[in-house]
Amino acid sequence: MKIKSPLLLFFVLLLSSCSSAPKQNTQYYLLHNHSKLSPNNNVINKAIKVEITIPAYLHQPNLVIKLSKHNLHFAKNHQWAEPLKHGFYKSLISDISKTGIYTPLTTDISTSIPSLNVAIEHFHITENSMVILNGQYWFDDDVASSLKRFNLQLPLEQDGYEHAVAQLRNLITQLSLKITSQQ
Amino acid sequence: MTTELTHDAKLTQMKSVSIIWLLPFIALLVGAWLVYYNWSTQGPLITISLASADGLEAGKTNIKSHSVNIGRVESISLNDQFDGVIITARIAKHAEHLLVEDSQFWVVSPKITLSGVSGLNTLLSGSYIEISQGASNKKQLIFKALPNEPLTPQGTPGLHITLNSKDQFAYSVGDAITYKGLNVGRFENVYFNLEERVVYYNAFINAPYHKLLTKNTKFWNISGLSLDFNAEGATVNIGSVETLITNGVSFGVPDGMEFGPQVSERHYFDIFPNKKTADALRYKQWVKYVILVNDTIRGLKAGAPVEYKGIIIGQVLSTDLVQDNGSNLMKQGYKVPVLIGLQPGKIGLPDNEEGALLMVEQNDILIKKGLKATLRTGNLLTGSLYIDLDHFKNSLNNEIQQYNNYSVIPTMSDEFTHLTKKAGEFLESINELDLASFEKNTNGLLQEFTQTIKQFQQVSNNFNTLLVSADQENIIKQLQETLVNISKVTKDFSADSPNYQELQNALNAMTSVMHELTPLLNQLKNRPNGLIFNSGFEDNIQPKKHTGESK
Repeated sequence: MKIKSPLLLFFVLLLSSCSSAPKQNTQYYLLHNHSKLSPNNNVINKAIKVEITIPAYLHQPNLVIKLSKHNLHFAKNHQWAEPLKHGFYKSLISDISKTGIYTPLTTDISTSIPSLNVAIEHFHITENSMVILNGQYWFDDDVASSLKRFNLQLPLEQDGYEHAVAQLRNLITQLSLKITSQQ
Repeated sequence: MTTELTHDAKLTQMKSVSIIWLLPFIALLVGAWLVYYNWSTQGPLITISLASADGLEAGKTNIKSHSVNIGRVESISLNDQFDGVIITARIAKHAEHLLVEDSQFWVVSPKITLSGVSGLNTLLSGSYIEISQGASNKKQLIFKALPNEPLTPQGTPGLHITLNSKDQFAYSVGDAITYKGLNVGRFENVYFNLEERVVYYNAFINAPYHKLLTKNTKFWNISGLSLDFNAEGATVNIGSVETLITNGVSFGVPDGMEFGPQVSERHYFDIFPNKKTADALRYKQWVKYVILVNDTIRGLKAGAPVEYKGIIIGQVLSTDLVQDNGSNLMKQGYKVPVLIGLQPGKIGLPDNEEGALLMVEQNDILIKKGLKATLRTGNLLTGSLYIDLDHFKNSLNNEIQQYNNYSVIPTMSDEFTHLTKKAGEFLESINELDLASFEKNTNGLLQEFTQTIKQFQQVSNNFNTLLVSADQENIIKQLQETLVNISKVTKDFSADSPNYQELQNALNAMTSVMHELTPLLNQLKNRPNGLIFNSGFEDNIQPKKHTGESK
């Protein structure tokens, strides 16, 4: 009995030391902030549908940071609050509607409405402290002439994921301007 | 000069014969004596007539008695008729007494017969003539030889008997007579009496078996193999190996019968067909009755047993009684008379007239009290019948019927016969049925029935068609309902349905949970103790401000 009690105390202290390790809380980021879709009343609106496709490595909640040419890092404690595709979609239609050229429809009322297809290839933080958004988009009613590629980048002006997320959001705005400016 | 004295011969005359003549004289005497001796000691010259001189040679063939030479054949010549030979033989003096009237001569040569092989010694020495001394006292010098060796040499101890046969028995000389399997005698010759139509067989029984012959001795045939299918079953009898091939008889005293006194020479015996027939004569007394049979008596033959409660007390004596009452065999209701004989000795009564009278009195009482005779089948294989006497209490007889001066024992039908009779009547009644009209009516009925069936079949086909069409409509209706239900279900889960959205949301939530769990699972995979201990690796990678330098 005299030997058992010190051993018991030692194991308890060991466990408690493990439990006392500093924790790192997970940060959740929302790409699209709540803002009304306010169309520009001075521009003729054309109803469109928006279809977004993202690459497979972005089908996960962690923010992606590129460490080198072919090395990606998924931040364990920095995650998207909602699926990236949804957040990207909301952000894009919000920006497109703000231009007043198109009115993206969120519900499929009729199949005769043209559809804007955006295929994203890269949407992450680069090793150069930049954020990148590239891919291609097209309108399905005129695929041959409307197919356009885009490659948008913005530098990080601050450290941290929060700023990176904001810059990624700005890339989406640039994309919407590009899309609407070329129609 | 010398002078020789000469002497003159003095001649004198002989007074006697010269001694030298003594020698031829002595020789003559010796010769005469020899002749005399030979003449005095030689036996008689006999003459034997034979059918053939086969194997005989003059000067060489011997005459023997008991294998001892007693003479020699001197000459062989043909007889006057040229159908036989005359043999002249000299018999030795000491065997002269053998030449009597009934002495027998025969030629001994190799012989192979069914009864055995004999004379093999003559193969080397040559045939010879055997003599058998007779019993007569009268001397004789002329003999006729026997064609074959006598079966019973003269002087053989035993007894000669005569056997009679009225049946077809083909016994021949040399056939065996056996007693309990032993050969005790032989047939010597066969004589057929044309007037009596009886064949007589002279036989000889060797001593000491001749003492077995008594007045109650019975002889029966044991030739070959005898098969007897009767009411008592099947019986196979064989005498001996010899009688199996040839013929033969056996003898004995029937069981239960006294031996009686011994018989004398040439006593007559009858030959019975078999031992059973011979034994049947054990009892001499017979009490005869007649039974009148309604049914067929096919299978019932003379000699068939008459039983009383399983004990044989008699036999059928005749099945072809001649009727003197003028009744017609072809008349309907005709009853076949069968003569049976019962033996008082078999039921313990004396085997004499007194016993017969007692049996008659007894049977009269029993017949009145219901004793009846029944024809029963003794052997299903052969169909042989026997007569069974039994009591039937329900059928009493007030008086005893008579038939040809014989008392009649009433009969009762056999159950099996009754059954077959009933079956026959049943078949006859079926035969009498008017099958023609029955057939006609049946045909008409069948035709109508066939038409009805056809109509019914047509109706059923129509009904089937109706059912099929109804089933098809029903099936179509069910299919339609099923499709509507399926479309409802699919609609509930279609892409724009709330259920689909909920499902999609659930899948998305699950995906996000899996994404959240993926780092933990990776950590556990790489460092299983990471849950407890700090892995030492922290997510320290942070995006940095862009400074203008490119990596």
